[in-house]
Amino acid sequence: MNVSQISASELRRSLHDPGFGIRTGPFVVRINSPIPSVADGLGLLYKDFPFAVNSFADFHVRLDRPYNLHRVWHPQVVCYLNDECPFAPLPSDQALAVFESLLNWSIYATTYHYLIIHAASFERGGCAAILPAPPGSGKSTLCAALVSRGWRLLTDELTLISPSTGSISPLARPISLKNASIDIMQAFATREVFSPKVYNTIKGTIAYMRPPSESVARMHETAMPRWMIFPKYQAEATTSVKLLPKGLAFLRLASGLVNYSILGAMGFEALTQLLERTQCYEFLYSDLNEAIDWFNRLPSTN
Amino acid sequence: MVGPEVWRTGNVLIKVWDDGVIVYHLDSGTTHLLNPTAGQLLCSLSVASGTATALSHRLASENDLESDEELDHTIADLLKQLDALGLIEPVTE
Repeated sequence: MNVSQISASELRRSLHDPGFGIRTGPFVVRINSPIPSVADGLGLLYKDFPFAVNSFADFHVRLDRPYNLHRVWHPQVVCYLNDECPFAPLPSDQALAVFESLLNWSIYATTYHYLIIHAASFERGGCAAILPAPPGSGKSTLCAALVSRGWRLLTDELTLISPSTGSISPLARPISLKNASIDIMQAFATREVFSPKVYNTIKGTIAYMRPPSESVARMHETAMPRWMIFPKYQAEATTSVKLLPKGLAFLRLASGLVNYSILGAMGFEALTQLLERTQCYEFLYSDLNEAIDWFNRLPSTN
Repeated sequence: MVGPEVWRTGNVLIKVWDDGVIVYHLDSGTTHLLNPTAGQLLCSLSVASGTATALSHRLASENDLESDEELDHTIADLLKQLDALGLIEPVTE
């Protein structure tokens, strides 16, 4: 059963008590919250995801109102992961963004059977591109644009690499857009669905683009990485591409990997094999159509 | 005159790329990109331990260079830097 097969009122009721599980790629997250905007946001963004009332869960997430004045006055949301409270309370209108951040953090902090790269990735014709980049580089905007033009979304934020096979396990979760990129993508991808904007977060204004139904339906289908592309958005720039030497690419990737040093030798071997099978580029862009043209010209046979 | 110490690689994993050598230090979890000369020196040490002078001769032979005192000192300086990073260690026994 998918989330879309449940009415909005039933979703709110189930989320409040007893909570429910959503499968995202290899993980099941169990969510519990009495906050209606969380249920509405999940109903909008996760409509195609499998829904389960009683199932094993990798992460238990609870978003609640605090037991103090902020329950009603300047309402706040307080979040729990497996009954621990890792973050300070935030304004309750940020509850959906809190959920997404908490789920990212849960995966980052507790997953050791994948090499995790802070990167978007997407696939076409059996070949996947990985876009590792720091915030502000235009990674999510480019990812959203490509996904809206037919590439399969694997992930927007956390790329999971299997150390044994080298393949990417998709999460297919909503794409997080920030500040100016929200309006840009809403104008560019008019057939896609976006969440309401969440204002005044630590990253500014955030909105989420719902993952395409096909990407969610295929979230158990792994993909082999073929390209490692370090994007950089620069206003007015003409699209330009430069081959990146692999030693330098390795160093850039290693400095941004969350669990690389925890994995030790296994992480080093996994990263080495990943770079052996990918071509690495630096990609400068400002025009989304030009960028998409370049990606679409990449050879699509594996 | 360079030092008489015999050096060997530390607890490292090495991968040679076209633009240099990536070294992973297993004890600290740090990763380094060495330039081709330092990388070649480390790779040479991973095959067999040696003194600065012996390594200088080995690298000179591999690269068709004259082995002289200047090269010995360059290699000795590189060894000091690799030692400071924990990538090599003196053989004590």
